[in-house]
Amino acid sequence: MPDAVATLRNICKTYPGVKALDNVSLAVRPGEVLCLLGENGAGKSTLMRCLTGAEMPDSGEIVIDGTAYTALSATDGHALGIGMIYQESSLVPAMSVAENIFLGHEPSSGGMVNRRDLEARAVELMQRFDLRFPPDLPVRKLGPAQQQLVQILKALSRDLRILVMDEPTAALTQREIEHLFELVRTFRKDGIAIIYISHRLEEILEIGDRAVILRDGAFAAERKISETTEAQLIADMVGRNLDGKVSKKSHTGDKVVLSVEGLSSKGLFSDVSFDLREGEVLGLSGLVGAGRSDLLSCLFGATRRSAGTVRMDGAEIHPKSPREAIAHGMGLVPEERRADGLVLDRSVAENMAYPQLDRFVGPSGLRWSKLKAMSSQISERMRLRTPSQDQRVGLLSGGNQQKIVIGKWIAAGARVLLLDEPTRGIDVNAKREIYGLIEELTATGVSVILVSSELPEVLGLSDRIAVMSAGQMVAILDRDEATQINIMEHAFSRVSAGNGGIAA
Amino acid sequence: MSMNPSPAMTGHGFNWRTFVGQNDAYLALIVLIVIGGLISPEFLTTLNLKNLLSQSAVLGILAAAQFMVILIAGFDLSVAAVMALSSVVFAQFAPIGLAPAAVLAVLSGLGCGAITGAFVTLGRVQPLIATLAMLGIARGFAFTVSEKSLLVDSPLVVAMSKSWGIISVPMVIWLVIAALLSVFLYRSRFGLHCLAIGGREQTAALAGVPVQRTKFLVYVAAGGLSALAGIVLVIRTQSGVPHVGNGWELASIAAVVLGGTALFGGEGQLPKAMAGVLIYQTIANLMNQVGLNPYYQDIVRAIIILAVVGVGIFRVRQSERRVNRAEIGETE
Repeated sequence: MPDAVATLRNICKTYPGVKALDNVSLAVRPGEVLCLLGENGAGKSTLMRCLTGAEMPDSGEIVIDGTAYTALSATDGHALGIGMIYQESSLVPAMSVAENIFLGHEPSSGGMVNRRDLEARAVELMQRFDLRFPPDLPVRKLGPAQQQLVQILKALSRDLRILVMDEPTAALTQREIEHLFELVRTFRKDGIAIIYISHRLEEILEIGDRAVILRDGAFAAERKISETTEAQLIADMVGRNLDGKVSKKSHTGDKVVLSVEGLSSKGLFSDVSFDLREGEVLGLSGLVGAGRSDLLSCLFGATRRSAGTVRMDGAEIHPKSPREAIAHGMGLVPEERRADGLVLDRSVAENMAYPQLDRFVGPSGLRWSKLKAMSSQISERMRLRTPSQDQRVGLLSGGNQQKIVIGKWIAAGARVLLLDEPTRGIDVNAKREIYGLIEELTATGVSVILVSSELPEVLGLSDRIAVMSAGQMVAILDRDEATQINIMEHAFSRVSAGNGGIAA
Repeated sequence: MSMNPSPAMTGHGFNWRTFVGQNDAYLALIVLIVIGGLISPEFLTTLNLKNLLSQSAVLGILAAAQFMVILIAGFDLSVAAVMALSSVVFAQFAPIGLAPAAVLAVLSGLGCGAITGAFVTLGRVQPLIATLAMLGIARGFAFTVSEKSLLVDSPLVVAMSKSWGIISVPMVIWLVIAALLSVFLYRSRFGLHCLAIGGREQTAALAGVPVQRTKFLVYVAAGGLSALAGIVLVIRTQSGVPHVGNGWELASIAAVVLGGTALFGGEGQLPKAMAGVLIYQTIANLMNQVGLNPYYQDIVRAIIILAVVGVGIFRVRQSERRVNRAEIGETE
């Protein structure tokens, strides 16, 4: 067996509030396809960003050709022959195909670039892979699949020894995936080490040689692809979920609290209808970009409604601003918790009070004692761990921050909670607590719309699951008929080539 | 193969809409000139056109500086103040000799640019704040050098204020600078790097583009160009003026955006930005021709800036919406 071309040793990386990587080690050899598996937030992308120099590990070392580095820069990464195709596009939309491919290492003499030469080289590179983009076309005019291929060309335009591919097939059709796999096999034959990240297990079984599974930022298992099965890999990935599976009692009442009919927002989603009952959790599933967050933001009055009606307790409401939506008893827990959900530099008590500050204003200004009393009471109910009500929110862990975002709506008396990825980026125990809170709240009659890209979470918490695909609600499944597989089928139902989102 | 784009996408063959879209600034300028000729008999006279072009020269060089900064998704509010500083430095030292005076003037501009550039790149100060501070500093220094306008009576400068038909020295300097800079930005790695930084800074950084160094150099270049504008101003008016160019920083932004440069960076062509300067100055010139009250002129100029920037933001929003629509497959 050939020696490893790169070895990552005991890599640790912590973000505020969450440990992204905990002592992870990994070696990759030339001519192998190493698959990196794990749920969302397991640390796959972060680990790879440490390898390519996009991220600096807190500790640990990266050994390449016998030289140990504590951290790499993007330039080091290129010089060492490490290329990565990122999950999010890494192209400059206004620049041409050729300019993007050679960005950062343009063929030049004396700092000047000969465009004809640049484009000729791009064409030459494309011919090797049977592609024919006009090299002077701005990449924003290409579809997602074509952009993905330009990203691959961009990585290949340098002398590569290691190629990291992060969800490279998310935007591709079956035929395009087959073509990509042919390319991967060519690279393998040429002795390039490939690290392949994907959620799609069938792809991994088809293309991979070896799989390393991460769970919650730590190494979980290593399998030889020829000796493993899909079931085995899933078991390795979810591990903990098998013993302590999320599952919630149903508290759905009879009363319809929120009734949505034919709701559309131009350019975002169209013709969405559903009912939400008292104490119910309605899961909202779909690919990234399917319109889930836009639907929540529209219900909350933050995005314009272009058609349709929304009724609350039978009366038509049309919140034109979040302020109106709050007055109707809604609360939004946004996806970007730190940016949209909290004022990080202010205290716990203040953050808890923002949706209803008026209540705490007396003739002589803010009534701090009343405000703090409310905040303490909610903190206790949310089991918030904070040194005091005066603590700056930015210094708390992700899980505790999220409890404040939810808590402020409870304090404001919200009856419909719109949760957008409520457990993203928070650790396992905090997730558990958030699940517990959702359960408790629904038991008291609060209704919840839950957007989550983690299917086990949606399946475990929801009483019904609505699936969106390319801006439309394509199915509403009962809890006992919903499975990961039929949710995914619905989620992909309106997605065709060049019209994709990112599988989650 | 399905992955290759369809011929329709690449747009071969002549297409009116594309033509107008690509040349909008030039066409708008032509239309404006025709209108000018129709509403004012004075407009198309040699004297007026010479004045218009030589006025455009100073703003044009400032706009070239502004163009580079906007291209990397910044703003430079200090261009006009740096120009004023350079003009008084040049005028102050002109008696010693024009060459050393010009060198000192340009150095003052490069120095200002280097300071702003250092704050923006090393200090990570917002460009708007850093250049606003530099506006104050450069203006202050300009008044320290001389509280009043300084007359330059060097024979060479007087000679350079001559003109031949519509051709004047300031205009020639402007066009030469604009042409050289256009070619340089289009053909150099530096120019490509500016586009990438303005288009998507993170992507540029990951591709190994020296992002901070490039940004720093852009601010230095903008300072140097602003200083050249100051020298041209002295050639045009035979004096260095510490209070000159109040509000031109905004005019330069408006002109650049009028010329189709993306307000938040990453897209633009210098020749079109220069056409934007001519559009802006032609409107100003026409307002004078028809004898509009100067205070109303200020209001009209302010409205133009607001409208142009508003349209710029609207365009950004539209293209975001288009992307959204493409993703959900709406046909509208």
